[in-house]
Amino acid sequence: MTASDFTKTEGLSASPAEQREMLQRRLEIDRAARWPVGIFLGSSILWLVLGSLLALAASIKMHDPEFLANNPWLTFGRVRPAHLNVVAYGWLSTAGIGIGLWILSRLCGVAIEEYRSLALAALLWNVGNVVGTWGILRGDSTAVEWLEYPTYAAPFLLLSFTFVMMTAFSIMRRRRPGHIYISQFYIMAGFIWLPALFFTAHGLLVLFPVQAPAQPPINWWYAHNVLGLWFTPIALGAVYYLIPKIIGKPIHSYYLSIIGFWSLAFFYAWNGMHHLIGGPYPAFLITASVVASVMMFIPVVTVAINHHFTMIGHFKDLKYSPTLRFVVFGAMSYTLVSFQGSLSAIRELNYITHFTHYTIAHAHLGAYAFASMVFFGAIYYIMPRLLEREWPSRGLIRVHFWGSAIGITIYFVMLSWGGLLQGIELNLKETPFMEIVEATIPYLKWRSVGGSLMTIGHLAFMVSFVWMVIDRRNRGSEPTLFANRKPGDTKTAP
Amino acid sequence: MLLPSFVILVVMLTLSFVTLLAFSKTASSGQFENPQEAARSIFDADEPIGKPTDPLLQNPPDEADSKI
Amino acid sequence: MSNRFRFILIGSILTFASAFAGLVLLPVWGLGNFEQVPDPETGEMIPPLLTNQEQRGLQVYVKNGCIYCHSQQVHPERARTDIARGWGSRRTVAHDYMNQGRAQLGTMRTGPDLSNIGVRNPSSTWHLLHLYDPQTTSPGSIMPPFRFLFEEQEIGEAGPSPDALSIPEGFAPPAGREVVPTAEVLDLVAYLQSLRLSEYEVPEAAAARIESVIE
Repeated sequence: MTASDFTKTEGLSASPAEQREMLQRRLEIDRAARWPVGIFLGSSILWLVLGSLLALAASIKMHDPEFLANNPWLTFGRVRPAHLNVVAYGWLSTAGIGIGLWILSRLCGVAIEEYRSLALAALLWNVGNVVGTWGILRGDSTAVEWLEYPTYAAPFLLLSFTFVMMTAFSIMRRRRPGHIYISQFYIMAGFIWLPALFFTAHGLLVLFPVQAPAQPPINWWYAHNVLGLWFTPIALGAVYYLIPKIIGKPIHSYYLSIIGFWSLAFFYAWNGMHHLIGGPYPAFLITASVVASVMMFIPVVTVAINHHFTMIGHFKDLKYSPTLRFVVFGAMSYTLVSFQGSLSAIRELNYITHFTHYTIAHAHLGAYAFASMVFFGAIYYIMPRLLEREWPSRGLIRVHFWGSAIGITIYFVMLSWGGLLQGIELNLKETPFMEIVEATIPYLKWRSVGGSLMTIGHLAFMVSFVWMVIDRRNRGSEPTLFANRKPGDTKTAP
Repeated sequence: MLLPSFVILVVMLTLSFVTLLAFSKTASSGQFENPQEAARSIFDADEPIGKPTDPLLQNPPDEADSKI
Repeated sequence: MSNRFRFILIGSILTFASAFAGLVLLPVWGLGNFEQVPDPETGEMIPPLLTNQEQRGLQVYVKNGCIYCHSQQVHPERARTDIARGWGSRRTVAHDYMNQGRAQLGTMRTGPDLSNIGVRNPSSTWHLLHLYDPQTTSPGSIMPPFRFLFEEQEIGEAGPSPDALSIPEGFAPPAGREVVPTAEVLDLVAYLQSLRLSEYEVPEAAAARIESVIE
């Protein structure tokens, strides 16, 4: 990218009339998205808070087993899967749907029209999660990891997602002529992959279960792909859109991003068996997944290069922009967690880390430090555009960011360390099992500390969101403060 | 596991071949020319290149309060 | 639908299909059709199918999420100390699990592996006490108590119930009260006692013993 490339493109030499037209179109798109996207984002935050409370309960129970122990609905073995499913399907997936649809709508240049479908979809999705969570706590968990919602919750989720997909396809079909941007690749692919995964896994593992020996490979094909072919694509699609948009600079190498997409699509899907290393399965199947896991270096490096080189020269913006901060934190975590994952898939390392708290810390580096932080950033960017007013309190955003960032850092560092020690001792046959358990307790307590900070951040987030929605005084009489900008006015141009 | 493995191998080779075919067809249809244009396509007259669009970045309050 | 969009769709479906073939179809095909075989020495069919009670017990295991702390897979000596810790005489193989309705292989060892708990801890009394309150048998354990799987009741005029647990001081209910197991926990214990996954001489067992060391 040379300096001259910048001047050649849309915008800098546009006429006021062109600017007004583009502004109008953008406003139309954001206004059309207000309710459909807003409902998904708002619901996701409620689930985030519930998921955090369930997480805290589970975490405390691990170092204090008598905590809330007498009620079967709150026994650890139910609270823990309830936490996982709530954050996976209630928080991340719901936010992912909202963010994905909004970015699609923006990039396709078309306003969302399918209000009724999306309203119904949002209702069904929330009902599905309520029913599923209640089902787990009641004792109907399937005990298929990452798929614990009982069967009676599934139709709500599947029907809802059908409406979501139909909307996504409709937006894509109506799109303005021109390029398809990398984020559209990722988001459309994610929207196709998730229902295919869920439908298959629920069918083969819960409804008409295959014979038991075949279940774990399918289970871990499913669970890993929820991360790799659903959360990751939506989050990456968001990062690829938000970083350039926020700082006003195109992505460093579009060509690299295409390579990244296809290598992710191919390799990620094969990772699943790395959860079963050492288990009762043929070595060639496990090796296939180990190879695919290590090959993930390719897409991850392309993403890292792209984001880093795009951000170069703009790192100081992190001081002022919380949105950017969340997104960049997330993007860097993606690189970290993926490298960590590739390494953990190597058998010799896996022999130490498998079955320990290290793996849990890794999971949270991915689902939280990467996916959740990116989604936080996306929501901070999207909501002012949907509502045409600002976030009410920088202080609350501060609490959210630092609560989350410090919280997950404590969580990850302490739990990984404890998990590594646990793994090393487990592999020393002289160390009595109970001693290993006792040695993990301080780290489990630190996890509760980290988790509490994260929860405080989430509460601040929820307060912020509700306040912003309710308090309409902030609303300008003209659409958004951006519209009042004169052409060429770049107050904080880099 | 021998017969299923063989079948899967055939399936995989077929899929790989089809994928490579799809790639070569797409490449020859000109979709891969000028990829950087696609990178610029997310900007327009209203939100051009060079203009940050973060609300909090746009109008930061005075220096003293701007750090988060 | 433009060329490009079609290309994205087809490509996404193809890449998905390739892993689907390898990680779903292949297991269904090659790992989903095990049959019982006669034990080479005794002739009984192995692995033995779970009785109705043991199946109910598996349901209790599933619904209460035992899997989140306990694994059910013995790993080879080359990889881990499972065999040295007495968790099984050999690594488990896929065939060993064919009698389980739901595979509960697990991915955490907050607690020990349970593949062969029926061999290691055959005593019902031990299991009932341990489930009632793990501190009674394993002080310092972080396993939650499952008192709700039991009933605490007044000791009747006829005297203590024959099923009543004899619980150590400090964990026992107040005087005049006793704790009896429910059918649910008895089913669970039966299931746990049925877990002896490494003990069956399935055709793959001999290779597994060698693999345990050299993989």
